[in-house]
Amino acid sequence: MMRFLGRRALHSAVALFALITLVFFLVRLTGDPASLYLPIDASIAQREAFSERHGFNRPVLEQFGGFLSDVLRGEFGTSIRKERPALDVVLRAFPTTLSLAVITMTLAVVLGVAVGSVAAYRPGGVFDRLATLSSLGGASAPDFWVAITGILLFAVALGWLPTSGTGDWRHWIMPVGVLLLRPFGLLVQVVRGAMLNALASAYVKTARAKGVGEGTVVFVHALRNSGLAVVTVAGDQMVGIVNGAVIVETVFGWPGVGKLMIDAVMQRDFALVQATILITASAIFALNILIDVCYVLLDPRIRRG
Amino acid sequence: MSRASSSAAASAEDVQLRRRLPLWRLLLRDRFALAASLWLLLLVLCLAFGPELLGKAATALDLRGRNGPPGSLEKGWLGVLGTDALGRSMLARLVVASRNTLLVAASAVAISLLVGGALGMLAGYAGGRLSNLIMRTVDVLQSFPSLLTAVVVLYVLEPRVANLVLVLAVTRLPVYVRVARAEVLEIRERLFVQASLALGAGRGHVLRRHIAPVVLPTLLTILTVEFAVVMLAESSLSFLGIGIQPPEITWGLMVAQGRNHLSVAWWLAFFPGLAIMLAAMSANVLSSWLRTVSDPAQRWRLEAPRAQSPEPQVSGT
Repeated sequence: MMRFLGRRALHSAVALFALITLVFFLVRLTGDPASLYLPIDASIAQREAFSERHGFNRPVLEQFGGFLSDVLRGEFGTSIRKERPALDVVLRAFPTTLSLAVITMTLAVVLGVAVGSVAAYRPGGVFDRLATLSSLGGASAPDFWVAITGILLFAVALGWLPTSGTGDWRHWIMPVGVLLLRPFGLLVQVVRGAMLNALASAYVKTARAKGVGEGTVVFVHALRNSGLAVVTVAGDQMVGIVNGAVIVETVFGWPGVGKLMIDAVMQRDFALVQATILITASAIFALNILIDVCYVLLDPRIRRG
Repeated sequence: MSRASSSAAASAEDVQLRRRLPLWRLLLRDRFALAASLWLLLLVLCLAFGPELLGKAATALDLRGRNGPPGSLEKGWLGVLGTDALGRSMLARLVVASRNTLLVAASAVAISLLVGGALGMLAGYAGGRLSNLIMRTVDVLQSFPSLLTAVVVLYVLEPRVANLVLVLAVTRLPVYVRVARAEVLEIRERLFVQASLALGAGRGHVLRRHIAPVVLPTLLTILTVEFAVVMLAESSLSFLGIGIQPPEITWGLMVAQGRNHLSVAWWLAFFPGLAIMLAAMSANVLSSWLRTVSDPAQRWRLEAPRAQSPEPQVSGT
């Protein structure tokens, strides 16, 4: 197990290095920040002073070397726009997105597993059809459209919920609801499929023949076998949300990482882009390792592979 | 699903095989799948002929009939879904936008399938260093925040249609590579591959003639799901303003434009979003139908005489 973790960590570190290298050079291709932050009639001397102050006048490779050694010391540079340490800005936005992701995925897993297993219990029944249809809708709905339709309906027409921003619990309902759709839909489909197979298997028959109660058969014997599929889908979706629920954060004015990233790219705030990507990518790599650990714990066969 | 070993059982199975329904008959029996394929067929017709037939109606301004509500036939059948802020027919615009929306998704998916499938098969069949190189590259690609990659790349490269297709294709590549590789790893150990190799067939021949035909159906099933995913991704990018640029239109862009008029004309954002959702849903329905059809252990659900399938009672053998 330790060797497995070590190897995964090494792979992640290599991938992380490739990622930040690519990002470093890509953001510098988006243009000169000086033309965005200084007035149009700024003199050449002013421009040079700006580049000098932010270190953009040095050769790119030298900048890259400096950036790498800074990162190793935990320095991520200063955000041009916010004039604060970039790391600070990212770490302030990160918990907002993370709590959104955790709440959404907890709800999605609980609801998805419950609905999926009940639907699989009577395939073709009324509940099954309703579940299949709603999961299909959830997996196919464009989130930005659901978000603005939701605002139109619940905030503008009915006035029950606030349109955007953060605050009390009512601000959470729509963002979580919109983010919930896709993971919920996919989880219902996956759990239903896995449960159909499991419920038709020989060991479930054996369990029933032994006189095990129906509840135990469904939720203990059969459900355990869909664990792998649930972890795969839930992990993948969780990564997606941590990655920046860009759409939801933009539409609902939610001060999270996704919005931060988009704004930073548009404003050519290089240090902030690099810090955001580095932090979220590290979180995602950690999450991926966690998912792999779950696999190993759930299925002993993988340990040998 | 017993494995036939004796010749008598084999011939019985032959009879059963011959009695198998053709695919289109199976499709006719599943109402959902039928509706989905008819809808997709209609969309294909729209993208093929729509812009030529309705191009003029989609750009004709009518400043007196601005933001006309849907459901009235006053302005003819083109006004049935309402008119936008410049008085253009929503229906005509939806039909015209279908070409960009669907073609971008279709070409991105096709490129991912060809390149990803080929790389995956190569990685699975060659093994060793080449396989390692391909899979590690895929790892890095997958760890990229896909939406952000798209933002940065499109910001650098200018949001042209070709760039958009390229970005979407590259970010969805890992799925095909992984699936193709996993399939090949399993298939290359099978007897018919080994037999072909023993008879002296070259590796390229085996890959083309024996492995690719088995891998392809799996990839095609993924393709339909991915089509929905990519279409949603393109819509999101266009919604954020970094996908297709006006005056070109896609459904995602129409939602973004309609968002500004949300409180006065809800239909401007509602119908394009509905179009995206229906297309994505149809692709998803069709894909799950294809998965059932191509899976021998599930196909009986569709072939069973009644529409209401009975409780599965698969014998343990």
